[in-house]
Amino acid sequence: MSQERRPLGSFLEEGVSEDALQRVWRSVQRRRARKSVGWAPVLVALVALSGLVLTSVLVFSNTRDATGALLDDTGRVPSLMQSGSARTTTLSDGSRVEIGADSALEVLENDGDAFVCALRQGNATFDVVPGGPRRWRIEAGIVTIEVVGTRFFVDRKAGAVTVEVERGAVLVRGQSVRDGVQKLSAGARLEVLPPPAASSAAPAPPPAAVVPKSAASASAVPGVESRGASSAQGATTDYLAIADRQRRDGDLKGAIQTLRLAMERDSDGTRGAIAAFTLGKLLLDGVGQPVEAQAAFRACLRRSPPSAVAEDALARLVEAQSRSGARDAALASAREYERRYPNGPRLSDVRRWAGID
Amino acid sequence: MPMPIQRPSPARAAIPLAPTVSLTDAELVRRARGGDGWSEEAVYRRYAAPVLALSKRLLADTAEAEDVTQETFVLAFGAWNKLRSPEHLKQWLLQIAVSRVHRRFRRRKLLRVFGFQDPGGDAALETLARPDCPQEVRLELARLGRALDRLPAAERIAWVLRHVEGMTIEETAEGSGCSLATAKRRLARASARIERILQRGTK
Repeated sequence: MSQERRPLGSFLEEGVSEDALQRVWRSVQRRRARKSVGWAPVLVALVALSGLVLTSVLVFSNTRDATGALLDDTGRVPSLMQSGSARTTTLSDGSRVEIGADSALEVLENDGDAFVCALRQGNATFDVVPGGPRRWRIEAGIVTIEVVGTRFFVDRKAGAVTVEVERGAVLVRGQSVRDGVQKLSAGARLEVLPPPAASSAAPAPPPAAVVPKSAASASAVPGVESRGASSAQGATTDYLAIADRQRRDGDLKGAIQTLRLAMERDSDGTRGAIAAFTLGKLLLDGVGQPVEAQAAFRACLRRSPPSAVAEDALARLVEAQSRSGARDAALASAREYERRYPNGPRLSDVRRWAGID
Repeated sequence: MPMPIQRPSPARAAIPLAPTVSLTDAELVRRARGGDGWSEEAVYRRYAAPVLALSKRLLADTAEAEDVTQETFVLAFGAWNKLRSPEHLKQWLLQIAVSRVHRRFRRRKLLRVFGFQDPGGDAALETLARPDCPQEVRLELARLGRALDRLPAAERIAWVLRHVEGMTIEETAEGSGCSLATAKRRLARASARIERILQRGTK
């Protein structure tokens, strides 16, 4: 009878970032905006606007960048507004931005659809002309402020962010904001503190609910009964494949860990022997640890590996012993190799490593 | 010379946000039905993360999971009148998400039929493991993820809802949009298949 186990989700992170949430939200808004526009109003709007297009070009061509970007009061597209002392910039749509002393505001996006900037430090006051075509968004570390036609102040200090609204309304978003988003109206003030630093990670729950310590123990996954040895062999086969992928990806440490676990899962079978042999080679050739490699090759030989693997394992044991300075042990192993494999393919290597003429 | 912008004077009594109790789901739904855009966004903020997380665990692909999340909320916001019990908002949203995931699986199957290789996702189970997860658990998650890849969509979904998300069988049936008996059947078949796959090795 299967026991009730903790869900596997308790071993997983949610894996959802604030960036992803905002990205998806913007795409939801775009799709809904497209859906809400029928064809008739679009046609009427096109007809009505067609007569105004030329006039608009003449009126606005000398005050707007060709891409629709807002220009600052020097006629240039603003990028980074940094100031030692407080400074006010009037943009080409009449909106104004006052950057406080020792503050920095970086423009991230500036076109006909959006004006997005990041308050990197200090404070700034925004006086946004309502009814404009652009969405205004201010990124301030742990919060994002979206403007709905307003005048408001943002202060960023030591990770905390304060938003005060003088006129109109703003939406403030962030993981630390209640419900993830709050709407601030005129006269409202919101202070958002950074989330508390994650406490030292709680130790992971014991893996007993998922991973058995021996092939004969309870099932490896909830709801699934183990079949003992065959289940362990299946696991070891997978572990060998995973270790191989880790080795190819350059994660030698991960591969070593995986191979050790594979040996544990199949403590006396063929696959366990292969895992031990592969571990020995990785320790000797990959990370240069001949002492540890010796232990792995011995573990392989104790598990009755296939004959081809046994011959190679004994040869590499001689090499590992030689490289670690255990000359007597290397000589003894070499004699053993000569006895078992008098015509073995690695006979000359074995003799060389052991210092036998 | 433009007048300097006056910063809201600190002497003026700024109205701090009242420490409001979060609105209930039922209240948010009521306001959203009345056309309150803020309430819709609050619903999104409350449940987008679990919808996205579930979609990722089912599809093992971040981009597809984000698409499913987007579709879920676009559909939900256009169908408030179909939500009979506003207090079950979360379950309703997850049900919509699961049905969109089903469509994605059907699309993948169709592409395979026409010879298009599945490029493989970037959100396999073991990549979602907590940082403090022992290596042994990660390896088991990797094997399990590969076994789940081989299950039929309906069985895979039921198994993930039950054993990864920790839902009861009744919640699994509701989330999968099937009867309790069907959910039990799918779970039993899924467990049996996973067992066979794990015994043989998932290579």
